[in-house]
Amino acid sequence: MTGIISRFEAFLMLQTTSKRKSLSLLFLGIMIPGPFKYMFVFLLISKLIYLDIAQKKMKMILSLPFSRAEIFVFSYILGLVIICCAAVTGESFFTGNVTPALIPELLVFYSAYFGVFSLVSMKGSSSITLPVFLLIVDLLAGLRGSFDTNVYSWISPLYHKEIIYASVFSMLILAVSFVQFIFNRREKW
Amino acid sequence: MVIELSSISKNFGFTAALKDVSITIPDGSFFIVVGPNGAGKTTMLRIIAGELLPSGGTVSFDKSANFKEFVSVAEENRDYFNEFNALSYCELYKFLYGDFDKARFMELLKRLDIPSEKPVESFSKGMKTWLLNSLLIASNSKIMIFDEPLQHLDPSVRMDFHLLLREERSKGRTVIISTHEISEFDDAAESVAIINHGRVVYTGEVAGTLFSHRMVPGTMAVNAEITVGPVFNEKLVRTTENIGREPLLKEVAAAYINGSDLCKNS
Repeated sequence: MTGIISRFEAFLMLQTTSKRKSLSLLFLGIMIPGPFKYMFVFLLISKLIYLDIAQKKMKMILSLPFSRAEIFVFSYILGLVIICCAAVTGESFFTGNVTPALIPELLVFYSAYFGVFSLVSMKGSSSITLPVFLLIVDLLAGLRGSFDTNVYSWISPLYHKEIIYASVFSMLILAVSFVQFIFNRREKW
Repeated sequence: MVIELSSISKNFGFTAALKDVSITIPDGSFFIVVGPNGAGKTTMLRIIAGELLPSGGTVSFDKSANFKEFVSVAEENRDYFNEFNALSYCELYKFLYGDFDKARFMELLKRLDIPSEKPVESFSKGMKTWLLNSLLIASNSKIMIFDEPLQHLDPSVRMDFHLLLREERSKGRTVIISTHEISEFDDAAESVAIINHGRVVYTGEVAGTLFSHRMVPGTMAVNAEITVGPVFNEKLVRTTENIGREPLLKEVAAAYINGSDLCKNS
């Protein structure tokens, strides 16, 4: 157990040292109340595993004593901690009121797009185009019709109108990307 | 900790980087991997280090579930983490390797006057090589994997490195080195694997290899079955008979590579 904790500390140190500026700026961005924080969460995800693969740093990280599962989980936890801390601090500071749904809704979005970014980067794409395209599709598909007629809006990572269904959907994407990351034998790093 | 590769293959798209590679690296040995550019040496090391998953075959170790904790790796391209300096690397390795020796690391940096607080990106290539070599030595990991560890180092520093490796070997640490500079390691290396076109064309102990091969003139008539391959105007043959002369390790490597090239082309 102490080994895992040490490796987690090492991973945090590695990520926060090498991405200090961008993570700090995104932390501030996520503090902003309202829907804008989703944009910053999206950008934050692009600075995690996705950036390590795109910048060819993943093979350096893998050359250290981290397992693939640890890299995925540690990276996910790092983003999760930044989002929770920034969102709660921001809402408390700016509005004085943190709604109970804030964190689950952000996590549904974060988990789904963390999975999307991981899957895209493992396919060898270093372009952000596909995740942005999927975000736009998500945005438009969730807008159509009413709550009753648009079933997609229930599970949409962006609209998550039925938080339980949306959570299951985002966890599914995350699980697929986790399995892909661990067992992918066509590495692009 | 014995490392055993059985029938390892690795494909990158339609390109086969490794084909049916089987080798055994004994515990505490000094193992060198040689071969031409693009032969598959780095891919093999990356698979041993757990960076890449093989497309086929298995890598097995001595009853060790968490093998990566025992391995430290210095990559060939001398890549570095953004915003890192030598001290940040030291902190990182202290988290990752329980036995990391900071005092040793700082002492090794001093040998090349490497500034501990300057960003690694400002280092020369030789300094980056030395930084990585120092991290591996100070990590006290059971297995050290070096990819071209002498690259960009001047002769006196190379001598230092050889002495350091000798010292570490005496502690029972396993050293695995991929190199083009075979003659730099022929005294120290105990086992060798020669790779060409993704295949291991020869593997064995260095002393036994030199004993069981001879260099003879290229024009000398010998049984084709024992002829390995040509090296300039001589050829290497597999025999313990007292003919020709004893080969150098680099000649053995060249002959096996040339021989496998000839087989491939014929």
